[in-house]
Amino acid sequence: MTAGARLRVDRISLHFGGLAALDDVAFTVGGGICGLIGPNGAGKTTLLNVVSGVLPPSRGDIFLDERPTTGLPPHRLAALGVARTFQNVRLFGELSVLDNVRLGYHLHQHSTLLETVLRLPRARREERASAAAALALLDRLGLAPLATAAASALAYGDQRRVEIARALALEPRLLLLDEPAAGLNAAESEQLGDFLGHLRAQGLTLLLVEHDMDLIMRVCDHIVVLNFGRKIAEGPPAVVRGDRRVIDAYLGEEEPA
Amino acid sequence: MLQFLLDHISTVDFILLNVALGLSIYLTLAVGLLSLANAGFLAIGAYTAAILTVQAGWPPVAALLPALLLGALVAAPLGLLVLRLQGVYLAIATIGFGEIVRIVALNGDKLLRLVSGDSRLTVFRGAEGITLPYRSPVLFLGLPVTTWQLLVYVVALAYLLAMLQRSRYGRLMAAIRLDGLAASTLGVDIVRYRLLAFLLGAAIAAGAGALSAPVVRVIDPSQYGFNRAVDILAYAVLGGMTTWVGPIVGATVLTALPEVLRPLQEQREVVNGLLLLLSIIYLPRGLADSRLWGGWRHWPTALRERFAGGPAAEPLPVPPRRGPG
Amino acid sequence: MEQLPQQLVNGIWQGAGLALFALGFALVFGLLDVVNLAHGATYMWGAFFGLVCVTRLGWPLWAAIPAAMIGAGLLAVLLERLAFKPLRTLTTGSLVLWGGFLVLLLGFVGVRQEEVRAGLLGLGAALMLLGLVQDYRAPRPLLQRSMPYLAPMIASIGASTILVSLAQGLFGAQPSRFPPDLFPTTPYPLGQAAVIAPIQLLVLAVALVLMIGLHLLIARTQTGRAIRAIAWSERTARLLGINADLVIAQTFFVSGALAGASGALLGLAFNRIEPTMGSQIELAGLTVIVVGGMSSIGGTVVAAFLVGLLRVLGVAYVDSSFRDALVFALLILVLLARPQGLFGRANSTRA
Repeated sequence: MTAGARLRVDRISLHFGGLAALDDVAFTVGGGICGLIGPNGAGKTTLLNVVSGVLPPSRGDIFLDERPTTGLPPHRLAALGVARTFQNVRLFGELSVLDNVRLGYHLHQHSTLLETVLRLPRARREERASAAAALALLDRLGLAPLATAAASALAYGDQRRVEIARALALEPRLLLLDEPAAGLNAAESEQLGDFLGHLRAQGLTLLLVEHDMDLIMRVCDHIVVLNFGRKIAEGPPAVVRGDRRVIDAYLGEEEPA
Repeated sequence: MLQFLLDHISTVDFILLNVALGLSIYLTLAVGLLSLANAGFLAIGAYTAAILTVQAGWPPVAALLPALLLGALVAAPLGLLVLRLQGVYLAIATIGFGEIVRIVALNGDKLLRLVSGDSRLTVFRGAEGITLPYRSPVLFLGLPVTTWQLLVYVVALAYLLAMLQRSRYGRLMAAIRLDGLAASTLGVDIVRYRLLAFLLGAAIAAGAGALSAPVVRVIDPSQYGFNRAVDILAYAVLGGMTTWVGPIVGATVLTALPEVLRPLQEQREVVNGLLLLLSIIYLPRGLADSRLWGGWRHWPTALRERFAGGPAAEPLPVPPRRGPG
Repeated sequence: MEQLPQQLVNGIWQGAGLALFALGFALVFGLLDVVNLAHGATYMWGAFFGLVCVTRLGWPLWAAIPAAMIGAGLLAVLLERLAFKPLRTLTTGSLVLWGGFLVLLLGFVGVRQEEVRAGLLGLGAALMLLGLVQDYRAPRPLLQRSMPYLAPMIASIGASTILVSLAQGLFGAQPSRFPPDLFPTTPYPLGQAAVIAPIQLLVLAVALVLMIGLHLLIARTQTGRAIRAIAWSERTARLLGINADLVIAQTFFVSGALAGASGALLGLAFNRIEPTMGSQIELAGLTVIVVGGMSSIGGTVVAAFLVGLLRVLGVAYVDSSFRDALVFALLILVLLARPQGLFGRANSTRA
């Protein structure tokens, strides 16, 4: 994979009617794995939506490698190397697992419609290549046996991993993960952590929204904490863990252990 | 066999025509667009061919290319305007378009006279429509040339769409239909592909219209209204919307059935409506659902799924949209 | 061609009739996001119910119109149970209802001998009743579709086709009329330039009463609150213990009753009742709900007057065949320029 992207979130605000879902959020992710945590409703998924182009911010800018991407539609951001997963897995249920992942390769295939329907050599070659690449990705995640199954038939945990595989098929430089560990048990969570570390070693930049504090503390280089749409703390795990404001925000919720 | 076909040649022609129309709507349904505009494009193609034949003496098949182009040309601005409408509002807008085409055809002469100042222009001939002069059919290998034209058109279309469905573009379209947002985060430009599907569907319908002109011979506005649009949709609904085979099956059944049911003259409409209702409720994937034909053992699974609530994938807990935008 | 003030008067009473129709349309659309294209057929059947009450049963008008409303309302409930509910969830009750319906249809159109026909009709009706009652009490999980608005629309088209052909079979395709001496006909003058016929005044009056009634129903009653809850989120409403199926049936009843009122009144006012009258008004009704937006009764009513006026003026000043084109042009224009309708609220989520 190519070198990871540098993400700069510059004073992003997002208002829904009178409600400020995000308020002046700013931070930078230079590389590695950045964790985005906060109590429910803090705006973490909303921020991911803004970074991936799904929602335009009311104010502020996003920079990818110092290039402004604010307001670009999701497909343009994907072309720039931003991939994401969703909080509620959004696979294409009726399609097979393999086809789901192959869709991630869409941007790497250049044969035109005409070439495709006429089954010209380039189109056929690219089709074989995308199938092979998708299968290889599934294999890395241990999902190869499920390739021909309908995506909706999979167990929840497997669906999550297929979604990650699909995002990786994009060959992104920035990967946004929305609660990838939800529903995973401790062993699976640890495997995920190893896998994320592996991705980091390959140069991918990751922004990880999670509630699983063990995973966050273990895997992240840098953590940003949101509450009520505002950033309340930022820093390496050791610092954030002891931050009074963070502990207060999680009052009653799981303490950053 | 040949004699049987010749005896029922008009039914055969209509089956071919309706199959082509069913394929045209398949393309739009494949990307998740409920467009009822194709009857309007059918009209555009038919009138183009009729006018070129009667006014300019062209042989009808020569009108195919102009019809395709005109269909795409009209579809482009229409698509840009209405494709951003959501779901049922798009359907309503396309119904409106179809009706406007019909009304323009009905009043075409009045409009032309207004524009050109020539009060004796009769091109569209209003409600009476344009009647193509009778030509005794030219036979090729025993069947009329007009039938061959339709057959070639349909076969070519079916082949291209079958290739499309299996390819990357087919997956793309399915992704856009199933979850446009997720597709866009994978780099798919949904606006572009929806427009493309819409344009191609329009062109296919218009082309079919041009080829239909020598077969129906009388081109009048009443044939191309809301009812026609619904019929076209019915082919896809009955036959199955997610595969190119579906509209072929649906069109064949729905076109041939009234002929078979000829004795039940008045009840034909009731049967039509009933078929539509029964298929949308009890055969949601249409007759071409592979599970129907895969053998008896699949039926229990299909039935269970139908009763118990279908495949997984809970809808996202967002408040439902209000309004078309 | 009459003067402008007269056209305005015509636009107002026709708009009132259209408003009733459109409100019924809007109720179902707002509740279930479903375009009930059989609403026009319900309207038409309401007109025939009224006609039959007067001509075959000899009832006076003040009884026939409520009867038409009730008949159309019940028809709409039947429609909902047969065509819409099975799309959401298929219960054994639905199957029994359908079995009975098919038997009924068979007896109705497929059989000649009187005894067999009567037997089939009876059996069919009994099964349908059984299916209705059983169905009502057994909610089941919801079925997911990728184009959820498509199926109900198609189902309603199928149902509409059946309803129209049954009407053609029963009443013939020729227009029918109410008996001529049913209602005083001398028009009342309105100032210098316009007149209004008593029946037209009746349309306006009844429409106003029904509109106010509907508003009270939605805003003040338990049912109204339940309707609003389901419109927001059917799943949440069910989770909160609202008997969604019952409320949906009630909504369809009201929707059908409004269509029936509109049908009977406008049929009387235009003195023309025929099986195809539904399709003409349906397209106008679609335009009204789009122009009016989904947010309020008031918005729909104002839009109905606008569209009614447009239709009247279109016939008077342009050309009768262009009337529909004008209405459609307005429809498309509003959809493009202000998709939430003239009175709707813009929604904040992207398509």
